[in-house]
Amino acid sequence: MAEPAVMLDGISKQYGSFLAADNISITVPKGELFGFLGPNGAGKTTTIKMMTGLLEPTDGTIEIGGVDMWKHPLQAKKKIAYVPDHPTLYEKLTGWEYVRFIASVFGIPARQAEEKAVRLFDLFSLGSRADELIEGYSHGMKQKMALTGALLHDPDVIFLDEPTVGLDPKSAKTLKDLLRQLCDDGTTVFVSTHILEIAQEMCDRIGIIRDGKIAALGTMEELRGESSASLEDIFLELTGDEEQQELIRELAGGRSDAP
Amino acid sequence: MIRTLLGVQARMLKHTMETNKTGTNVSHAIIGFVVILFLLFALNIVTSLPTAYDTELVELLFSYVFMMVLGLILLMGVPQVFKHLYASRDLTFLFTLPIKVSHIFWVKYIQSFLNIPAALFIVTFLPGLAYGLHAGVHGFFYPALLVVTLAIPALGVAAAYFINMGLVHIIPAKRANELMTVMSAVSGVLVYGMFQLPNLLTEPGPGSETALPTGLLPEMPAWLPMSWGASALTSAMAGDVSFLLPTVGLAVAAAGLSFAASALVEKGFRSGWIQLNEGKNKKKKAGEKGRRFKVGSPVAEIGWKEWRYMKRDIREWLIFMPFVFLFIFMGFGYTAGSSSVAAFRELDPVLSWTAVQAAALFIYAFFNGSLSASFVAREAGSTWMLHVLPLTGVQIACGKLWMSWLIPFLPVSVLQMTAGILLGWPVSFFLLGLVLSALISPALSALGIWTGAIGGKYNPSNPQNRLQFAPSLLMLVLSYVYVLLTLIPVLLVVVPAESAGLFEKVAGGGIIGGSASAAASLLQLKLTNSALVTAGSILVFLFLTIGTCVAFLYLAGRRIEQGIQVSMPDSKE
Ligand SMILES: Nc1ncnc2c1ncn2[C@@H]1O[C@H](COP(=O)(O)OP(=O)(O)O)[C@@H](O)[C@H]1O
Ligand SMILES: [Mg+2]
Repeated sequence: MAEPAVMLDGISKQYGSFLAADNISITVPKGELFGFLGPNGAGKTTTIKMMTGLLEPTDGTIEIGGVDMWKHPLQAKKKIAYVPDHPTLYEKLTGWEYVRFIASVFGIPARQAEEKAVRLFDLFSLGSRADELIEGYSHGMKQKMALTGALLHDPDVIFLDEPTVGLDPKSAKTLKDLLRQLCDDGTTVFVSTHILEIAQEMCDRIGIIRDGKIAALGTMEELRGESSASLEDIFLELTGDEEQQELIRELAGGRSDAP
Repeated sequence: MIRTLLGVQARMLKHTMETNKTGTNVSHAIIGFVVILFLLFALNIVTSLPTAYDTELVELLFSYVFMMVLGLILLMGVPQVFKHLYASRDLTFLFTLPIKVSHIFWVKYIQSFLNIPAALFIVTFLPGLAYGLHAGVHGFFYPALLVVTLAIPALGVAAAYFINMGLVHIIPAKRANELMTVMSAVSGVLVYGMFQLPNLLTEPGPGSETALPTGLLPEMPAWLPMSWGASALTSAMAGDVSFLLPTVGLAVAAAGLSFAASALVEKGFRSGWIQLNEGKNKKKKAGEKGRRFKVGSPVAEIGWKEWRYMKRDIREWLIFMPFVFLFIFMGFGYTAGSSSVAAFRELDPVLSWTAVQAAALFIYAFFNGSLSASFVAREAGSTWMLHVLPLTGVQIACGKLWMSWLIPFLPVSVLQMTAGILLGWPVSFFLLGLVLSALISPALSALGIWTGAIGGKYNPSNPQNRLQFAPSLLMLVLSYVYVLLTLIPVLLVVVPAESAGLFEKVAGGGIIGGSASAAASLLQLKLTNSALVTAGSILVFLFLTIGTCVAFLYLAGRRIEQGIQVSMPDSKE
């Protein structure tokens, strides 16, 4: 069998005495759209940062297409792209200059980079703004610009951290379709989210993380079929449970009673 | 409400200190230590002054001390106040709460005062007190001292607030982001003008050095607040009741100006803040449309990226402020004493060349490091990009190096050339000067890159200050040590061997004597074996310059790969 696109083996991350990621092992085959689902503070961002070479794991190994991220970072990084949850791009560059910067770093020929960028700008409706400084973009536009930069060099694996958060419904839809298309063409996508529906409707396989541990791993059907209590809890946490609904009603009611 | 807000601020400060990296706390401790040292030094001087004083001289001294206090407050306070007024991150939040704007203002005002102004109060009040006790002056002096040393900084802070709130309205909204720069520039010019004022008003006569005190330090016009304070203190020392008038006048002026500032608040503070934040969202076109899409090498492209960053944010230009002041001073010097420039022209080209080289190296040593360091610290929020991209640390360091080196090198070289033409150097001197600069300066920039990687700091509202205190001190010291070291082989080549005797006379123990004797023996060697010493010196020089540059690039690269962390202090600092 071919090398898995992403292989995490016993990854842990310790912040002082706090264990933000605890012995995480995940294998993602090539061309899969993998969803990393968990409530806020579960350790999604921490794990993704370790996979992209931003945060050194306390323990464990990470391989991208068979290359160890922390032993051969340069080779591994050539294969990946990363779109963080709050992309701070080079704000004083224009969209085009940013693309040019990324193209230069990855050594993409000018013609090829330009064509690709034009297509991506069109797709994300960024074309008319690509000559403006990035600092003037909205959060969603910055995210789309980061996506453009990420897709420019045809990465083997794309990591996206909560990509739909700043996007309007149309862009979110475009993104979902795009990711699906990319996976069908052989790119591997690793996407984190705290929204159950998103994971459900677009991912091939889902890893559920909570308190730094992998609670469950499999396709949505497999997960639904599995009836463990802890998994139930997580789904409730992700959807909002009965008790919470009650609380919300109470709070709303309390306000109208007030003088 | 004011107390609640202050309480919150105090608690935040406490937590900031608790969670600070030890390095930051250490550098704060160093600053505190320096202040205490200065205080002890001042106390020492004051208590060793003769007890019998010349009233005129003391008055002059006081007025100059107060001028320095006001100058410092304006210079550092105007940008600081700007931060407190308009750049604090908590304002967005505070404005949404039901708090009176004037309360927010007073909290900010107290915060501004409890900064440099409070420190200046301490370093003027305590030595003043010590002097009073030491000289055994009249009891009136002490209350007057307290009022005056409090009122002068308060006046400075109030003035800083006025300047800020005024300028916020004059400057068009779309330029508001660059306001900070304008603030610093304005305060610099103001202070410079203030110090020049007495100079311009009084022309020192010939042989003025003996004619103390008026010759050395021109007298100050009596209507300036500094003069009020000074005359209040001198009258009080003598037990003259007339001290009351200027003392009370000063206190009233300080209080009045402060309240006037608070009255302007609703208009200047809130609306100015709104204007400022709207200005931010103005679209900016950077006209590169229609140009062909090009792709360069990563190293070149990183350099260009830095260049665009500098070009597009006036705030970044602040780093050139020292240059501007240098030119102003030089311009003043030129117009003031054209005779001395003429004398300079008559100089031997060797001497003038040496002087110009020394000046250029001084500028490089002073400037290159901090510029390059700011190129690293600028990454701040975007460091993640450099880590995710397939770039080696050395590539990143090189990319930042070439541009940060070129930016000072071009103007300084042009200046050098201009000086050379004016001073009539032979062609070989031009070339030699360029080669020397080109070889010596890159290592200084590399040093800056490394320093930025170990101790970068980024505060979007205060971009010229991009290094933590301790690393910046280290960088400055290393820069000068390096330049001095490289000069040894240069001097060995340039200084004629015959002057060995000259050094022998100074030779002896201690650092100076020791180096003189070392120089003497090297020159002796040169006398007997000129070619060897010259060749050896050139080799050592090349090794030093290129070696240092490569070494720091490598270190910086390593550091960048390990992950640089640019500390981003809250805009409160
Ligand atoms: N630099 C840090 N220092 C200490 N704790 C951290 C740090 N970064 C994240 N954490 C903690 O790690 C946990 C996981 O955070 P994160 O990975 O950002 O969660 P997620 O992205 O799933 O919302 C959280 O409890 C968070 O408080
Ligand atoms: Mg997260």
